[in-house]
Amino acid sequence: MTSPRLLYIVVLVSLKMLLMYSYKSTDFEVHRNWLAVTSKLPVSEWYQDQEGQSHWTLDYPPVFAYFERGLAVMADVVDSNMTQLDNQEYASERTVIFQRSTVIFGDVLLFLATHAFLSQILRGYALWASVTLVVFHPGLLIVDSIHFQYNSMLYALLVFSYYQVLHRRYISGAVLFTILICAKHLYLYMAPAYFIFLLKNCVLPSRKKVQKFVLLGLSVIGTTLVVFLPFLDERSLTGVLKRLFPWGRGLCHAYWAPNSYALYSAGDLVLQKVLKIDASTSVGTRGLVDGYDGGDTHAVLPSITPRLSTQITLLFVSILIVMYWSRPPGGRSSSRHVVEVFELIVLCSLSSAIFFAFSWHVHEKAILMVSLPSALLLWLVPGPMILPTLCIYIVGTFSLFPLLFQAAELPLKIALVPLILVGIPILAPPQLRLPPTNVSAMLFVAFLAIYQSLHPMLTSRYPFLPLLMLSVSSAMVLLPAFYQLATGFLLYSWSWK
Amino acid sequence: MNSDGDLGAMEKNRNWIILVLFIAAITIRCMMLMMPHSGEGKPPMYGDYEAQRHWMEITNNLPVLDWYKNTADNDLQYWGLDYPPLTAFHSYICGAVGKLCVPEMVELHASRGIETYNTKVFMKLTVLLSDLFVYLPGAYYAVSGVAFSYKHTAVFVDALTLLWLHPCLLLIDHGHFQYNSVSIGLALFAVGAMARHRYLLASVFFTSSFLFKQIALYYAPAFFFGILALCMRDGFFVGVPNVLMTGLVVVGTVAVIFYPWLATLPATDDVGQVLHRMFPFSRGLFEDKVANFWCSVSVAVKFQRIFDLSVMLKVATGCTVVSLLPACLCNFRARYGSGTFVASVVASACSFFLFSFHVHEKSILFPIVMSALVPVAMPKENRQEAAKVVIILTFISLFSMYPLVVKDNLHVLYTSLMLATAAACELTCQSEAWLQLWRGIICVVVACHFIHAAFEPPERLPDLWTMMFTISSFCCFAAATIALTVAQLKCAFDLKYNPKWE
Repeated sequence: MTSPRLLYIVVLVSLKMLLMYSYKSTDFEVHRNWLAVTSKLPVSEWYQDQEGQSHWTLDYPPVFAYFERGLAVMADVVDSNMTQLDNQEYASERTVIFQRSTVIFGDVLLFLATHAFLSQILRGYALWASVTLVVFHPGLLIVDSIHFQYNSMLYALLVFSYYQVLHRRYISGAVLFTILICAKHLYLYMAPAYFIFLLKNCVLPSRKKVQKFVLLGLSVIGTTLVVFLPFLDERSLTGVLKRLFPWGRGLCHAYWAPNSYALYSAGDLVLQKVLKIDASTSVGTRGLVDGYDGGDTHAVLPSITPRLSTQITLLFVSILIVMYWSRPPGGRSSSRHVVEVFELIVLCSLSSAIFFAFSWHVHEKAILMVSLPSALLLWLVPGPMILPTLCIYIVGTFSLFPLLFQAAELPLKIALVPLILVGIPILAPPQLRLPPTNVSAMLFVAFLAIYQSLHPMLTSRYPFLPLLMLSVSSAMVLLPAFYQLATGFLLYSWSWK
Repeated sequence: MNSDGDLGAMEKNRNWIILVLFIAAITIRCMMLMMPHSGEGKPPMYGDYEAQRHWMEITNNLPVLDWYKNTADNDLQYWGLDYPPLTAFHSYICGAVGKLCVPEMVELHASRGIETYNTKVFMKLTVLLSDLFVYLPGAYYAVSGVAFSYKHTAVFVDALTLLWLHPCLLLIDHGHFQYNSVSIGLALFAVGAMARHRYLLASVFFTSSFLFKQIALYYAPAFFFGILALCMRDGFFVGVPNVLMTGLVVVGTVAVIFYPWLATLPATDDVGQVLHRMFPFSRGLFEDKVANFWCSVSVAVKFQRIFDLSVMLKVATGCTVVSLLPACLCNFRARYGSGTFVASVVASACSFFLFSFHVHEKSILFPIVMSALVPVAMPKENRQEAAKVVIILTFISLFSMYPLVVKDNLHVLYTSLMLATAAACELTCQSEAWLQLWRGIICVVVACHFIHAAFEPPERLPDLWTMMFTISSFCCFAAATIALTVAQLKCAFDLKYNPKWE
């Protein structure tokens, strides 16, 4: 019997290849520019602003830069024009095929990591359904294979670190997670969760607590130092940090991530209209997006500052940490390590959820940070938690639809709606019970996601309204789902299956 | 899906599985929307994509009677209409919708060679919608008709998957760009009707099918003998009125479709002009390099130089008839289900492909898509073998289209489809002997591609690599046709043969 994994990979590659010629966003040029920057400039200049160069500057941490450097070696063989610094917007056929192939390679890595991890816990149909839910996540399809990013590769790294934790190799898990953060600092969303998990399950139970703690700390710090080795002088370091954490941007991203500020801002707008307040003093929707200059963000409701949003986020993270710390350990001793890693994954997704809901300038692509772990969790969570996990998975995907705004992707989006609404529940565990309220909510969000594309063809008035409604309704499903997931996890003591 | 294990769950969820498969089929077609098409960026003639667009332009701007005539506005040298009227009507509808969405696409003369983003999306959408409304339902109707004696969902779903996601059809229709799916879809409707013994309905569908693309006449002998056998089932005197009814229905359908041209008779010979465009017999024995008998044998014996064209026409016709007759005549001894009829359809189409005049490499579509029905229509003990043969043959058909892929720059789509089909073959061929055969075929295929990519052909024989592809494919097609005919004859004449249907 031929290896089922090989067949799966072949089918996976075959399907992802079909998207090679679809829409590519500015992220494609961003990554091409990074190929050029890392191959043509000396390391000390990677994070420094260059005159006359493309403004798509390197704003991921060094591990990603090293990855691009490695890719650039192969890129030079395929099409040497790709790595020229001043060849902006260069997108020859070979370039496109090469770059898309690297993303597909990341998809294959994700499959291998997910299969290796899940095959330790699940068997048979459950294993393959679960793997399919992760690897063929429609959100990944939209963001990675079309829009162009490398989330699948990075997520493979995360799953691999989970795999190490499953086998109680905490230090290598921590090291892998550190490398991941040094590849995309967005994974800092999960850092508090990982930290507190390691504290509770690795340091505390051991007999030499201090030694363990110091060892973990040293390995994390050591890894970071090794990664940042070429950048350890002040000039380079400030350059890197400035790129990684640009604080000058506005509260909401251009597409209004479906978080609490979307609801807050929408409420503010409604109140403006109802109370007939002149919007010239407030900044309306543009000010939220364009930039933050210290002024008022909202007209009627109190303003949100970066400091306030950080405080709210840290407040909820602290609540999560405290409640997790005081939770008794669950599960039979034989499957203790499975319960542990399950706790880790849920903690990571909850931590990401909190940051997604409350932090400053959240990109709507960040919903993948919550949605991808939820794909992993769907077959692992106990019964009551399946529904919120599924809601996060499905509604999170619909909220990403506005990213594909060109005509050629509209049929795909329309076809994806029934595929997601019918196919995902079929692949979900059989204990899933979908109440009509959730179904109608998902249908409503799906309708808005499609309508958002059709609206410009019908009328030119209120161009931003469908996007606003989509973000608001997605937030109204996602935020309660986060809460349900958190309460299901933290408050109930359950025995592992 | 190939396991006989979880029978209960599959049966219960049969409709859900088919629904998901349907949506998946549409989604996959949506995913390949922006693939390259034939003649992209190649003035002055471009390719089949431009031909289809040009027909939308012609049909929407000129009166009906001018569609097939060489007029000042309609230059027949630039992709003149050479498919029957149903294609013209289909182009008219597409063009009418196009006028609303992308009017620059159908402007008379001004729209020649237009290749903008919006027009490309629109054109690809027309193929998708044609699939959605004609091909996908037709495939379902055919499979549900032919497979009625099976209780196993797995068999049903396997055949449906192959038909709905047929790689050759996806490559040609959605890549190279044509509307074969409409013609084949109508033919599938006809097969489904035949399986339900509704021969009048089948006649209407089949007539529409070949009045959309005359290549569907490849199936005609099988339909002729099949319907004849069905009519005569209850005896000669009951049969004759049935036959006459069928003839009337066929003539009626033709009359309805040809009405605009027939209405001008006997004043002008417009009908003749249409027929002349449909059947251009002044062309040669074969065009390009194609995996049929004449092209393959021409390596050794150049028939077209030895004999006169009219002689070759008779020889080709004779060979075709000899090849298809045994399988088709078996219709008179069809003892169980519709397996005999389906096999005769495939054998007929294969014979035409192998032996007839001016065969295009895309014509392999007509035999190979229909062959997906063969495993479903076979009795249980033949089913597994038939499934293996069919899937490997599909792979080889895809392989035989590689010269076209090179011309159209469709390598990405081709690789994707080859990988998926190879995975399907690997999954299907699980017995020792078949696995060896399949692995051998993969080696040959990979070797051919490697040689094609790595080395330049020798100067005296510039088509050598192409011939490599076509001759190897021809051997497989010929072998398959012979095997099918032999199996047909065995089934029809072996008195001890008592197929079990489960």
